[in-house]
Amino acid sequence: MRPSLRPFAYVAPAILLIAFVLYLPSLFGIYYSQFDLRYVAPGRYVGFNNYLRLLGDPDFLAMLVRSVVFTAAAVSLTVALALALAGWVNTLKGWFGMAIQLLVILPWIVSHVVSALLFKWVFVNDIGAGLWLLSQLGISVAPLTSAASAMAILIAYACWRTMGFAVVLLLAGMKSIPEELYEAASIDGATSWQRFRAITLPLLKTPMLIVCVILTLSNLNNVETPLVITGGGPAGATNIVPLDIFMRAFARFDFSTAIALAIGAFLANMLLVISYVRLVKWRV
Amino acid sequence: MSSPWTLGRIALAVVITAALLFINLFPIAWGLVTSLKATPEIMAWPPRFIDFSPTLDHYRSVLASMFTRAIANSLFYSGGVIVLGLLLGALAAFGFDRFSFRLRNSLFMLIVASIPLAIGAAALLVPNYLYFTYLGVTNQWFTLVLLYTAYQLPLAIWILKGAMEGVPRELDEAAYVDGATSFTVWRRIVMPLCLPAIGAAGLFLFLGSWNEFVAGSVMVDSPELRPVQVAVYQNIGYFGRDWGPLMASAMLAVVPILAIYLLLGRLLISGLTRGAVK
Amino acid sequence: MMNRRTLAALGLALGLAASPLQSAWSQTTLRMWTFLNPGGQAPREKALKILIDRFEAANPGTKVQVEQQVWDQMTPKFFAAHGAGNAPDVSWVVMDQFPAAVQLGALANLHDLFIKNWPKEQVDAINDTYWAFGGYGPGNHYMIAHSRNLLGIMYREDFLREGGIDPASIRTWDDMIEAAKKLTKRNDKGEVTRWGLGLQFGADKADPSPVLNFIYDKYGRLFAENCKALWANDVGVAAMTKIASYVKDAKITPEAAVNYSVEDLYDQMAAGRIAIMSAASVRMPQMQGSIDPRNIKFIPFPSDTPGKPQAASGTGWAVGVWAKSRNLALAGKWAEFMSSPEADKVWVEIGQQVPLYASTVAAMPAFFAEPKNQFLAAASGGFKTAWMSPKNCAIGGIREDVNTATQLVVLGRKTPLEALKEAEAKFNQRHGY
Repeated sequence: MRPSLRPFAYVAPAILLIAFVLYLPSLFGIYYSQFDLRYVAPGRYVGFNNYLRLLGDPDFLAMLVRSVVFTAAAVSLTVALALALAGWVNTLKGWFGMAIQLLVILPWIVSHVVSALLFKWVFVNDIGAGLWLLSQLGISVAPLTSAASAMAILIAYACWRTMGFAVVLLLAGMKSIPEELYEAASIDGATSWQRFRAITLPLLKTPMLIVCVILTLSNLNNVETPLVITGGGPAGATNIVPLDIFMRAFARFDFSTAIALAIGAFLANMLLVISYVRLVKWRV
Repeated sequence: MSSPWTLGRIALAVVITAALLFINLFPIAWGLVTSLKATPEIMAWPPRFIDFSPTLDHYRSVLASMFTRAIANSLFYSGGVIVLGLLLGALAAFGFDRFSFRLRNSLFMLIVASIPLAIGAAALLVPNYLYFTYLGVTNQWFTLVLLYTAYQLPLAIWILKGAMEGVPRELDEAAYVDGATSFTVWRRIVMPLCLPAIGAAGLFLFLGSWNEFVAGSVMVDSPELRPVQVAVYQNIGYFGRDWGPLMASAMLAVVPILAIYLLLGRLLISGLTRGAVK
Repeated sequence: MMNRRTLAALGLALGLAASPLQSAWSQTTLRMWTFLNPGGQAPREKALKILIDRFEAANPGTKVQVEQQVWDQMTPKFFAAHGAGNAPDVSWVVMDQFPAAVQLGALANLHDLFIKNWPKEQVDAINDTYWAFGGYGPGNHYMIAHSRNLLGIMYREDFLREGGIDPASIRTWDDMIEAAKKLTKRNDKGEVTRWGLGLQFGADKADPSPVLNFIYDKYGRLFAENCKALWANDVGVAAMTKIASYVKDAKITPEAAVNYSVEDLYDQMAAGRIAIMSAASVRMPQMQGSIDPRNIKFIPFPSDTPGKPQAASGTGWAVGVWAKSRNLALAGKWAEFMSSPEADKVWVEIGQQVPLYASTVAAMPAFFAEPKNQFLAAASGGFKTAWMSPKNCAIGGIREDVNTATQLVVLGRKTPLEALKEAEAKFNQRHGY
């Protein structure tokens, strides 16, 4: 094989699979979005009409803002907590450390809708076992009646669910930092916080990037989370992009605007990933 | 970092562990308890944590409705994804890491940018369904293996490439001097040194495929091909949410993952550690 | 030049090749999409299995393959599959989308397939609101309605009797509200432990709001000729005001209802925290799993006229044959069998479904008198006044729109008139009316 073609031989199968299964259908989706979709299968060609109708929706801008707010809050909270938790788990040894790891990843490995249903049942519903336990201790909560608390619950759930993934990746990153660096810093009199800031954080750059990218994409696109936890309420206060796509398509049978929003979301996602990576000046 | 167990450290450990137990374990444990309760007691209020008479009825009814077939299917799909994903991923990671070629950056960016496509939107379901139907790829034994591999490939490549970065080039050079081909270098030198990362990537490939629901319900129709998540979700239907069988099937579905994490969990962390996430 | 051995080998090969072909010719597989799993343990699924077994026995060489689908994806998937040319032979279509399916040309004319051969008594026995919905003029009929579902009231008979209320005395809407007021219980801290009237205003998984029932009862329609929504009128405003007052003033409905999906409501009922609630008749079997069938009953919504049920939403599933099925005649036979009087008995007795034929109701009086089957007769009666989605108008989103309007009124953000006007506007804009 000619040397200059050799790398392509290695890379091609993966690229081809990704192209065929992920990119081509999305291109087809863009083509598909230019038709009248009242009956789901492509009808009359309407160009960008579906997109215009979508933009004409009075709630559209508010929904975008909400989605950004939710994602930003969920990702920052998750990463912050995961860093702290991973830092602590890193100090544990043996079976106790393993048990804690299992505890941390538990919500992440259960089927998504099931974990959402359980979270909602236990912590959110007024007939929840968790809330009942809290009420026995004198704490009473009514989470879903105001817009702010509903959003807070949604963010809390997103955190709960994705924490496992973040902790695993950050923990792995932390374990790859050589002990000698910490020891040298201790000898020089650095406090734990200073050690963390000067040594741990900078060396965690790549896992942080992976975690941030994947968490952002996950929260921005995940439909089970808002669907099960709040259903978009109250009065649309937690209606975010992925839920809106789902409701348009399957609750209202409005496929035309659903696909327009979906394509818009897909393009925004691509842009996001590429700019994230550019921002961090990450090179292959 | 082995610091002594001071009082402060013990207190911290107790607080965090208690919080984790309540926040993480309790809801899942509640699901387990629900799966063992007879239907009239499931919604009883105030909630009953231990004073109920346990029954295996829900498990029995779940296993009687082709659930074992669904588990077998998912084991096959996930296994296939691990094999195909590791193969394609490791080859691609090698290509990206060891060679420099003009399109290297752009192609890798393409792969990273495809992650959102895998996480996907609900409404793209229909054009995706049409596209795969036109290709004749729906409802076959390999449908989900193909799809799931593509969904998980970007992360797998990322992890494996990171591990390969940690394998010194000198080893390659020595082998080339001895007349080895690049493929031999991949097979005999680089890959064996990346075993932990291979384990980690394999675990992610497995987890992603095992828990996937959307493609499993849309792209595959025959009952004989259905994966486990679809079987779990059928308990949420037009006639209502059947908490008992739903929890029973969900608990059954989580057992393989727990088992794998128990057996290979150490591998996951160390696999990601060795340069993979440096 | 072929020698004898080659010839023999060739003959053997041909023979072997022909035999699978042989059995393929005599074995036809019918594909059906539904949300039921014939291998499942629920009564309605067992009923389906019995019907499949009987049909296959009566038609040797035929196999009915059920491809269970997720119920809220099934209809769009069917439309897409129709476009892609690989839809199943028989499919269940959600009633709201049945007119669209007909417009799309996806459903075969059942009249030509088998209805024209039916005796007059059979057609008369099945002729009701659903039958009229499936017909498009003489000689054109495209579906038969299964899993029929009436929106009505579920109540706890034991709570009513405990509170000294005779269920038979609830003859009007106001009677029901009075009962709900008496049945709302509070504990010493003043917290409500049992709500008198359970309603849900969540936008996801919503049932059609009772507000629509009031409008339909008075005006006989919810949409204009050109499909524009007609909800912001005197009756709509009065109904919305009433419902909001149940939360704010009478306090018989929880404020949390603003976010309840139907599932939350059923969970609350199963937990014994609701006395009377709006509910779907198809959910009775599920409720009977949690509450003794003697204590949970179903009746149609009471209207303002004593004894007359309120017009409520009647839904269900339209079972049709794919217009481009390659086994049209056989698919028609299966659809006919599934909807025959014989099958109706199985659906009712084993599956606890609402009967299709009036003759089935007449033939099994003891069955319908049993406490756990009481709801079937009640729902059957309520269908006579039920409203269904108009055939010429797509009405997707109507439940979310009206529920969102109710949320805004209950939360005090809009007046009933404003909220209903906004709901109308959203609805019209979405469909381009």
